Amino acid sequence: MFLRLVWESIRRSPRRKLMTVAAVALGSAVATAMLGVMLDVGDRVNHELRSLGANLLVMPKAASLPVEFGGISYRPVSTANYIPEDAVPKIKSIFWSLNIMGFAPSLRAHTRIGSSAVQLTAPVEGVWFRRPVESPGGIRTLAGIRNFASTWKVEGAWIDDSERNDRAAECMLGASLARRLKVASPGGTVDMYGAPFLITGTLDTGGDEDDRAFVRAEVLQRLVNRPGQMDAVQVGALTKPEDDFARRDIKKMTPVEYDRWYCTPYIRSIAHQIEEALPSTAAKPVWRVADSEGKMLGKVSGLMFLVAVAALLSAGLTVWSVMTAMVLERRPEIAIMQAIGGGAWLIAALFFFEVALEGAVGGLIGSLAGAALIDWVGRSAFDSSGGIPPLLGPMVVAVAVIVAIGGAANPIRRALSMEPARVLRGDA
Amino acid sequence: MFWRFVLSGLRYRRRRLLVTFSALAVASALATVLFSVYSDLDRKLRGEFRQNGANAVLAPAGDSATVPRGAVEEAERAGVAAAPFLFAVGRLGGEPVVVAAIDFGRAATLTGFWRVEGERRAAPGECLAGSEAAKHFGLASGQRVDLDSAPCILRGIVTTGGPEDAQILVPLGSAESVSLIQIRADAPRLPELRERMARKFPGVDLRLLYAVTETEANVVLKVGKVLFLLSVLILTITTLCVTTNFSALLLERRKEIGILKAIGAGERAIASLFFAESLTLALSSTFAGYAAGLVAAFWIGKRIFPSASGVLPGVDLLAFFPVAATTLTVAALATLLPASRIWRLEAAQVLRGD
Amino acid sequence: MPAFLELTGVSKYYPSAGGPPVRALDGVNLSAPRGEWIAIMGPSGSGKTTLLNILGCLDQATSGTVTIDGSETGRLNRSALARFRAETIGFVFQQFHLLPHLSALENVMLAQYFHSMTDENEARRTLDHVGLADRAHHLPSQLSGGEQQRVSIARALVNDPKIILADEPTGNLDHANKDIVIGLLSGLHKQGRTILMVTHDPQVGEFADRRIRLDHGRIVAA
Repeated sequence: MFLRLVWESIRRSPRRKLMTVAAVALGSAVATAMLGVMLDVGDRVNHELRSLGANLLVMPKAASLPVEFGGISYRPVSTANYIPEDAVPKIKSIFWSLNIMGFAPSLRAHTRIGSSAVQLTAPVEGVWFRRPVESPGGIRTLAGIRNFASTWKVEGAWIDDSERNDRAAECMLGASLARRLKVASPGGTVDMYGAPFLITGTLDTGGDEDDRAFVRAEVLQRLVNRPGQMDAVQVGALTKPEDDFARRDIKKMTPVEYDRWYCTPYIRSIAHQIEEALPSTAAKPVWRVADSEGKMLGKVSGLMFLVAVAALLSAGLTVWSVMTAMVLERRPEIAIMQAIGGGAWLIAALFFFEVALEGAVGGLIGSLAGAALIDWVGRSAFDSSGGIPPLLGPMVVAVAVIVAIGGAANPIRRALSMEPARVLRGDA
Repeated sequence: MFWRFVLSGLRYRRRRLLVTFSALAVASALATVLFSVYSDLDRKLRGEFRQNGANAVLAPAGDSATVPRGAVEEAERAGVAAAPFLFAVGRLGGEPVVVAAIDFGRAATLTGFWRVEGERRAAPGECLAGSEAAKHFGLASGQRVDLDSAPCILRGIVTTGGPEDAQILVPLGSAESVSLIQIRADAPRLPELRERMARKFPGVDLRLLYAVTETEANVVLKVGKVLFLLSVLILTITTLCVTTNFSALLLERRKEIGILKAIGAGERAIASLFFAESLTLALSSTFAGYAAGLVAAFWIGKRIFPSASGVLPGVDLLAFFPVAATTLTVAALATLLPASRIWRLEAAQVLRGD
Repeated sequence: MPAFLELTGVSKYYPSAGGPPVRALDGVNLSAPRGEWIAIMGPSGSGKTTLLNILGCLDQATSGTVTIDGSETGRLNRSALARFRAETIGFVFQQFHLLPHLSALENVMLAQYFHSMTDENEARRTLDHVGLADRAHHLPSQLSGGEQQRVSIARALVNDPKIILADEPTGNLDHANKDIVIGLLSGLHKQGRTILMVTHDPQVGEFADRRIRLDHGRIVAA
């Protein structure tokens, strides 16, 4: 009889049921979308923030103190300590290797650079531009300064160093250096180490790179006679903004805390893991970048949290108001059931069962629609569709049922507490 | 009689209307908050970005090796933060070291990312040391640093992950020209600043740190887009909520409409009564929601945009007009859409007594 | 020249699911002079209320013409019908149908409002006429059934209608209240108003000038 009553009620007024289901679906669609977007946006923005540049700098451990500014070194570069070029891809085999978005080793030197008009001393970097490498774990990736160049203004062409060639007489110049040398770029030549180099292009970054010359790593290694050696590696990593826990001294942590710290992508734990992978190096967070990232991510998460709360509020309100209207409309029905001797619990159970059913159907439709919404927001704002957490669907259905029942609870209670006689007389 | 009918009708059904009232109030509170946040999101975000350090550098251009210090005041007159830095090589214990002379007062806003043990700034006769320099020379806070140019007392140790780590930082004296000037300007000001500087100081080049400027612009753009899309979504669902509410309300009052028809009311007269009820309800809930929204916006402003200035940071009092317009439109639409029922309703049927 | 009230061949069919349409009224002819009190009687489902609703312009006849005081109601548009109801007709229902959120006085004034303009003193006098001057500010839920029916009569009267249509006006009332309501209707009749009253109570029917009996939508006895 119970099921028959529920079934009859649904069959009898499909339009009203449809409205309830639609409201729950709408509410849960927005809830799904919000939670999805909220969980996703941080990640997306974090990716976008990688264009700020490298947030970790790896140096040989006991490197001598650099005495350098304005692109000029005031002490010969020490060559005693170096990072072996072969070891660099190991960075991609650390615990958080998936969070390593890019890395670029470089070898640094100073030399006289001459054009037909001007002679001056400038820093030269031997770098990987974009080189396919394979980590010991078998992960293939492209590494080099182009990992960090998404905001750089390049005139001319990048040097293609996908094949090693230590005789390639090509270079790229920082925009400011090219201006000081008064060279035609691209296409002109400069003299370095007693040989002419073809300028393939110039870089404008606004930073130190503007005053430097860039050549292939293997070319500079040959010219300065440091085969297989690198001075520094820039690393760009996706990190979790530092919190109080991240700032604690790892030497004072309990083993459990240390494990938690190690398994969280804080910038310092990633630095720590890189130092483990590349012995006798020091990996330093670049705070100018890491701090900006943390702050911006904090703002964005705050905003998204706020909007999510707003959306959940409006979704909950929709469900609540529709449920209230639904129950109030059916007060006479409740009164008749009471009048013919239906116990409060039985009537409530009947209604709750119906509402839960509607909640489940609405939630299901809603989570599907919500997934579409996440995709839509992702496409519109980030030009790519986002990942949808797999557990979100069942979670939303469960929440929809709970919210539907919760929304109906108070009006049902009120309807039950009313005197049936008054309701039936139509006074209420 | 019109208002007597409207007001007593609202009073009589107040418990039922509470749902509609709160739906509308929440709608206008949400609209207030979203409008307040969204109205000048880019300005607010840029305000926060000011703490991200420099986004441009005034560097010597062409053959000059220095930047005139007057450029600092010029930049400040243009309304941007500027801090001069002068680098030199000094000797400490017979070894060369880079000594950076800094106007600590001006640099404070641009060096928020420094990790410092001890003091953040040095007075004349004092200095700070980069962490690597400190390690290299074995320096500790409070110790005397025997720089050849001017010995000083070490007040703090700085870690940045950048070149500062290898430098000794001293207060900038009265030098007339400096090595470079770091700038933090709101993005829209940069082109104008570049022009102004090029005009007054031909030997100076304003270099934009593209990594910073473009990333920030990108974040503003994308976050703004997401926020906009979600706001539209929220307002849509709220509108739908209010609309269903009003249609349900009208559906519940079929009998009343029948009676009004029987005693000779025209459909238009009935519609205008209901319309007035909705608008009264909407207006009162707009005020309530607006007030609640302002409080929420104030709280959010303080939490998310602590750098925002003004008496009520994050609050846009003008939000009232768009919010009221939105809520009233929503309420009006929500009444008008189901109002066709008034015309279609057969009085004879609803009054039949069942 | 048609009579004050003239029904010619009035039929009303309701569509029914799957079967032939239900004939609520089937070719009713009726005419009445001004000032007549007619009681419409018959078993339930005989079409009494439908006839009354068509007279009151709450419902439209499927076929046939209804003429009241020279106006053929089938030809009036919606707004003219509303005006017609407000000026010519006063309704009294079995279930009273007062608006629950308005006081007795306001319920009466509402009819004035839709007619032309409100006049609180006149509304009060009308309530006084039905003996409810002291109940003017009570809500319907605070009034007894008889009092509610008197408010509803006052509401019907306040615009000075030409016809009173009463649907089982005494159906929900006890003896004492029944007598009061009958007394009020008799008074109106004496003033020369036309009254059409649906009732199944032969005693109440006796007060009318003429009784017509409906069965299955047809007039079987006049």
